[in-house]
Amino acid sequence: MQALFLIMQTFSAPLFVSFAECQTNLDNNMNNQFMVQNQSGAIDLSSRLTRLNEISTSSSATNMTVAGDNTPFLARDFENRSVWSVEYSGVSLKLKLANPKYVDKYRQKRTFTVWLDAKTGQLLKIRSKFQGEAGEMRQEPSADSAESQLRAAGEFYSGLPNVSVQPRITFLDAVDAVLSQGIGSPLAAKEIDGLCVMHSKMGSTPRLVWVVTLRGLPPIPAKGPQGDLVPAWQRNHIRNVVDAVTGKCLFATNVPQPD
Amino acid sequence: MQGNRYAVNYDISNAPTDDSTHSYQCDLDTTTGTWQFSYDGTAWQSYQDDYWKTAVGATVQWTGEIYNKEDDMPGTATDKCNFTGCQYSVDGVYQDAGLVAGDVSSDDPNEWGAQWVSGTAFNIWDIHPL
Repeated sequence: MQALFLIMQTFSAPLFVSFAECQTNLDNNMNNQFMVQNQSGAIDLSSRLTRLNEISTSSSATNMTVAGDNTPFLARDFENRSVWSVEYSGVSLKLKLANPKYVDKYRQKRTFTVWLDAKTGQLLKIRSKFQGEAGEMRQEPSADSAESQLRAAGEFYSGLPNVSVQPRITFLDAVDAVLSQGIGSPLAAKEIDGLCVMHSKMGSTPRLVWVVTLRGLPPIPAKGPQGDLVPAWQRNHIRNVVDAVTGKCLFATNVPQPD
Repeated sequence: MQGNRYAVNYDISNAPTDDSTHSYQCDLDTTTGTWQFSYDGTAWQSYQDDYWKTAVGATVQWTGEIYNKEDDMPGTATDKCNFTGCQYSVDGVYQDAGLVAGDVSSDDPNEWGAQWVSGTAFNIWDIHPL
């Protein structure tokens, strides 16, 4: 991600969100939308939306202004927004539906960052950063390129949901859905990104989804004539789209490709 | 889909039900470089890639494919999955595939069966269904 940030404040806090709080129905979050007044409030809301606090050893919140984001369809809307950037480090992925034999291949090697609108508390995006050798994992495409590729495949992000609407499942629940129903194992992904948007495909009515992108996967085999000639960097990422109300994994695709 | 960029779509939530029959079709519009995929006559997926404005498909395959080796291939030895009506189009005109026995094969005959039926049909199945 090629984002430049103006850091204005930095604050670190120990994890204090209780398990009971994390289980609070996310519908109640709308009551908290306008209550993100400080760093601890940002961490609290972010943790309720993502449950990343449950799998990390520390969290911190920073107030910053977005510049140079690359989210397709939304980058222009995000530009110059004041956001709370909540960072989770020391992450070891633990998924409810994971086979106990399989553990997180990259535990303690990813840092997750959650952006919340500073005024409304609305979730903008979740980004992870791998702390290790990227290998064949290439940089994501620019916002314009990604948007063009998605349009070419019949996909459209019509925007963030209404500020009063929240997903019924958390980001971590969506990652769990990808593991159990989707394509690619989050446990084997160097980076896991999330976006909660109104999404439509082939002209369908927009619906609230989690877009969960796994990057740095073992390359997925390419079938068909000359499939083995497809470069690994075009096959080591997958984007799963999960219904944010039902938790059902809808489809998965490797669009968009890096530039 | 492979043009300037490789693209794949896994339609996870719309797997066909057991013993159902469906039609699948994909057509290239070279004026826009768009492959249009349809399922039972309804547009399902499109891919636009400028590469396909100046290229056409050179080979055609009808395949049964699974994602994980533990997954079941469609069909069983006693209730095979039938591929019928296999055709391809040249300049917008569809013609029979003209399959011969040697065209039909399995990547691993110990896991998956494949059986030629006619110039437009064949069967596949899982040898060891779960």
